Amino acid sequence: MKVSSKMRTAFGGKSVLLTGAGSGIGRALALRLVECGATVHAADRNGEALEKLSKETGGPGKIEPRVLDVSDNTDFGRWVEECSSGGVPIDFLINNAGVTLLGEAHKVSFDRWKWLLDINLMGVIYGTNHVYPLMVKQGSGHIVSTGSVAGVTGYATACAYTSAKNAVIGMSESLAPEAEVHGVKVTVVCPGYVSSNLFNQDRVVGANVDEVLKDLPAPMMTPDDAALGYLKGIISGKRRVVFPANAKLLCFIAAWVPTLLRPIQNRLMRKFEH
Amino acid sequence: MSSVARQEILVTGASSGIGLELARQLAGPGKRLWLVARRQAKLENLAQEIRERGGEAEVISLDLSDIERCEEFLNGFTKEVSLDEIYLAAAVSIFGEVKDIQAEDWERIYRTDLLSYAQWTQAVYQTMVNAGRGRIVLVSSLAGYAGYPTSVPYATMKAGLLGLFRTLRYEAPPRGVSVHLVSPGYVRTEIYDSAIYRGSSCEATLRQIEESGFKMINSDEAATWILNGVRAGKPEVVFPAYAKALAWVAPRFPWLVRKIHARMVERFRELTA
Repeated sequence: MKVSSKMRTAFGGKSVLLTGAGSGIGRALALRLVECGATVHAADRNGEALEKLSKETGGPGKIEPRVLDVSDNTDFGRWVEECSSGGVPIDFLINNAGVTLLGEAHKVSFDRWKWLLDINLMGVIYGTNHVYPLMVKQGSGHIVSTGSVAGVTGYATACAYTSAKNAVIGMSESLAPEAEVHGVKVTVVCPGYVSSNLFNQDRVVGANVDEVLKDLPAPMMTPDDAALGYLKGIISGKRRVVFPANAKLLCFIAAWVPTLLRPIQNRLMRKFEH
Repeated sequence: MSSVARQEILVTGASSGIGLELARQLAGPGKRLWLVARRQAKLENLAQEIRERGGEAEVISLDLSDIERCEEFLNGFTKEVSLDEIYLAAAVSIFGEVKDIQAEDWERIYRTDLLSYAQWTQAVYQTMVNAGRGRIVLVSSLAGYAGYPTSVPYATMKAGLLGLFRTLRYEAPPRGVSVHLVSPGYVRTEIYDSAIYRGSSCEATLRQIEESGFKMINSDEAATWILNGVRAGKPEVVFPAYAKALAWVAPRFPWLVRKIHARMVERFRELTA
């Protein structure tokens, strides 16, 4: 699939700050944004992944890679300064960097809870806190964060993750009404399952990763499909974007008949119990 | 008579507000209250009061936002004491627009209102799972469900508690542990006096709340609501009535919440102009 002309118009010639660009949905977003003609300031912890990304991108836009750990507030600030030096406006901030961790809450040590919250929540907050005041001054801009349906539904074996993701949703939806008068849009995007390196054995405590993946309640999207859905969601300007249809259905169930979630939650725990 | 075990109950934020009232109402013969907060003198007074009424009380002076220090404490404590119940009620609040909020404000509220909850929950939950019983009560806020522009950091961390609860509510009961998320609307406590104000003030904030028509309840009423709900076995308790209604409406009719939010921001700007 190619990017639509609507996407080219929305992102062509724009300056986009994107975190977590080295893998998964972030990497696919970077490639598609460049295809739209955007200048993508692509941040990731993994320098090699960024190098590979840079080599793969053609045009008409370009990639400006930068190694960054989003949980390092000081360095995040430096990066934002680099991207906006000389008064270059920032059109989009996409707070996409995130990690997962699956395991029953009593088996996952607090160190790892903190590690996850520092990245998935504070990474988003640091980015927003550095970029939002610049956008207010500009009188324009769009802050986008990657949330998750899991934040809305809960997700047995992912306590820290659902905590961080629901916090990101809360942050985004409470900020949006403040930002409106300044001409700044705020969107939280909640994609369903995306196949990526979020899932590997290092990120699963107390179960086998392949066994766990067999039990996922919905099929996984490819990162590229997810990226196209993501970009479409940004253009829609909605405050909350949920896709694909199965993720929408889950959100609907969580809002109206949450008791129906129980069998799904029990199934998620199955491979962890012994 | 060692078979008649006394109940071990820990309350954080016990020096004021909802935490203090919870401790007061939980105390009694056969119960030992562990009172945790920063201000030792206030805790000592409460401990004295509890002892006079025939209960037991221990004072632990800790800054809950000091994660490293709390880690040290919890490592020792969870080995020695097997808690029956824990009530996490320590919180700070921030009022102001995000554009005016400082990095250190975010850091402080993250540590106090979310990370600390995760830390204490995780540590105590682990020992409760081993014991096969226990109760965890997380004091959150309506803001976790409905959002709160002009107090975004607070709403963010409370939404984080809701996200934590949404998972733990499925994991914990099969292991004998009950988890409760209790979310009050406006409660008149010291949280307004100790809050951080950026481009706003305590007076303006209280005035806006008063104008909203949502009645502020006192912390002793809040504690009663909480304990009644928890004792009735309700995993989720939202109160008073207007808060319950808004928490119900928020996920189902987001457009309605958007209208309320827009009005909140507008009025905030009028009052702080």
